Amino acid sequence: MRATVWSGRNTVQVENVPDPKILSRGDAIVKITSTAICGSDLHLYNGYVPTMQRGDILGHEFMGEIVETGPDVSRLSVGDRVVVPFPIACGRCEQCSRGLFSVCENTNPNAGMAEKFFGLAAAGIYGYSHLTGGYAGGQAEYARVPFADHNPIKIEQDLEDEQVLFLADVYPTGYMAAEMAEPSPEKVIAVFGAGPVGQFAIASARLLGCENIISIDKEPYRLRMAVEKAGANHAINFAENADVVEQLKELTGGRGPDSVIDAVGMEATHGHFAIAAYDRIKQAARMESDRGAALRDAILACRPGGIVSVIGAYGGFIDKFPTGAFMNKGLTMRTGQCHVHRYLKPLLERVVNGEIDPSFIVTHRMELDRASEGYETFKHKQDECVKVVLKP
Amino acid sequence: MASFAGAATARVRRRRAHDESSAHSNGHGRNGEAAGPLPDERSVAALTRGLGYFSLALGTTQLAAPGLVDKLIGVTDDGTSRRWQRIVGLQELSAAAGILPRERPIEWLWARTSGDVVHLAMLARAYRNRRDSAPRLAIAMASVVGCFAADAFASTRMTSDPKLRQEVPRVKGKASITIRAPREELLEQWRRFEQDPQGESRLGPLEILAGDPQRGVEWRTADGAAHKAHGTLRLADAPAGRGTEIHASIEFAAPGGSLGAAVMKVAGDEPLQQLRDDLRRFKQLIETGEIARSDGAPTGASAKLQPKQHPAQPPANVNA
Repeated sequence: MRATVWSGRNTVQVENVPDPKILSRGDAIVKITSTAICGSDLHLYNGYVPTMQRGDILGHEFMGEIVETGPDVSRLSVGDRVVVPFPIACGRCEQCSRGLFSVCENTNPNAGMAEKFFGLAAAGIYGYSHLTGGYAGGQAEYARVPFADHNPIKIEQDLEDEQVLFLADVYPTGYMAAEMAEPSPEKVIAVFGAGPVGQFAIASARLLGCENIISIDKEPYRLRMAVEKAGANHAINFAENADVVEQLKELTGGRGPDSVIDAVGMEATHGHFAIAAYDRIKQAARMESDRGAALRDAILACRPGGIVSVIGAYGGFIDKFPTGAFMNKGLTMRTGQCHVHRYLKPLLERVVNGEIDPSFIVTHRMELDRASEGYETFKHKQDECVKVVLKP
Repeated sequence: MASFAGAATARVRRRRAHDESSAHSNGHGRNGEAAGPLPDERSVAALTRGLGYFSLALGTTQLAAPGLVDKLIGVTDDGTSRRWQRIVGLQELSAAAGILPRERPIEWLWARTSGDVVHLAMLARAYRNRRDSAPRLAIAMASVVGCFAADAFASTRMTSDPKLRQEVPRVKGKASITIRAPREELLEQWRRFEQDPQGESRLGPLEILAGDPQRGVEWRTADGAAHKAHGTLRLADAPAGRGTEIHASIEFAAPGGSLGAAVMKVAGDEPLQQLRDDLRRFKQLIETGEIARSDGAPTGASAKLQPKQHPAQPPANVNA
């Protein structure tokens, strides 16, 4: 089959690789109809995630049709149309039974390694380094889906691929970020980052009743989408004015936003040249693994007693974490890789009911064979790119 | 006097009995009658360990700096002599690897003894060569004769006296995991897992000795296991119906102690890592009915295979 393969920093190519086969009794094989490039794929592309190997197939946002099932699969059958959540859950461990699927205790064969890095076993994730299991990803023609009875959601409604594809990751991820921020009509929520997750965080905060949302980014076209499509009330472009904290205070009568969402993660940039350069250099020299500009500003801007909701992906350590502000303000921080499985049904329902059409983020559609072009376009935000969907 | 000597004897007996059990030997009549370590026993053990470390040091030097050794023993330093230094260096390292981890490395001591004869012959041949430095060669030959005496002594003493054994440093570790299953069921399943009929265990097969699982049963590795190790296993109810906690301890021989264990760990071959793998694999089997397998790790959790994983793409040939 054809598959998008990582072959070093800033290099992906579409290659012929062997077709996936059933490895365990609970596996299913999915013939992929649509797959997307995620912002977190760029962390792999840029070489900031350890334990990547040449030849790893990328991609953790995909959907398609079941073409084969292992003998123990009972809830899915050949021909079912499914969306596959990016974390692999066993559905049976204590964390899964609590609904904390992304910290599943059983699906990462390299749990020993993950425990050293993160202090937890961490669920397996498709195409996302060997630290999260070494599972082949879904930017390919076919994918093996382990623990199939506990993962994919069946799509029986007459909906386009692009309306349901993002259930795999960015839509529930943005939703969970909004939920952690405890939205309500009187609150002001600020969202750092207007990429796909930021867009869905804004749209979800609105679905959950928040009426005052501020979007922060440096790309005018993304801020425009946040205001026009996702439902933000204000936009802050930190390329124009680097002092985001001051602007957020200004927009909230000096109080600061009640909740701040970090939808940026480990490769944050900063409007102030010196701060951006400081983190860039430290990260390049491997003196800090994560660039923390967005998280620092989130903590500094949030009102005392407020919530900082961290959904952007981090992998190691940041420098200059403002513990003084964090502690003295009495902030609450909520974090986590999205527990996608618990949002699948309710969020699909919102699509069916017409409350949201997740396809609004799609800016680029291309053949799978053009994946490397897709990565470049997305990485450099060329041609007003927000989301690339690949068609095998 | 009597009570003091008696206590010492009992302590030695206990240690002996324990070593015997982990070595799987059938035991022998004299063992139980051992009356404390005689000076001779200690010195043979120390000599054996010393010979092992000597081999390690010499072999490392010969491989890293063959020219230096050439100069020291007085042979002409050229390509041929350096090649011979490397060959002998490898031989020394294998002797070290044979002697250090074993309690009774009889064959390896004899191998060293016969190696000395070969080395003496090599030096004698060099002595006849006029280009080489005669005084240095003479000193080298005298040293080898000295080594031969020590090796021959240790070999014969250890062969003739089954009581003699060197103490290999032992490393201890602990691992625990919580599994969502009742204690009774878990014990039953663990007995099946540790027999390892499917080849699922990384450390196993294991043997469970008598004991009460709530207080801790003793286990040890059986024949065919990757390492010789032993330890305890205790099952406890997790709070409020959250399943069962398994608390395992392990003890294994590691030449060089914790440093040696660290070297094993880098290679993914440390018994404690394998015990941890086993606990994870057992939990997966009990809770999900299968071992989590990926393209990178098609046989599931394995510290040993972790450093050399297959890329995350389907392997070319897979037996489903």
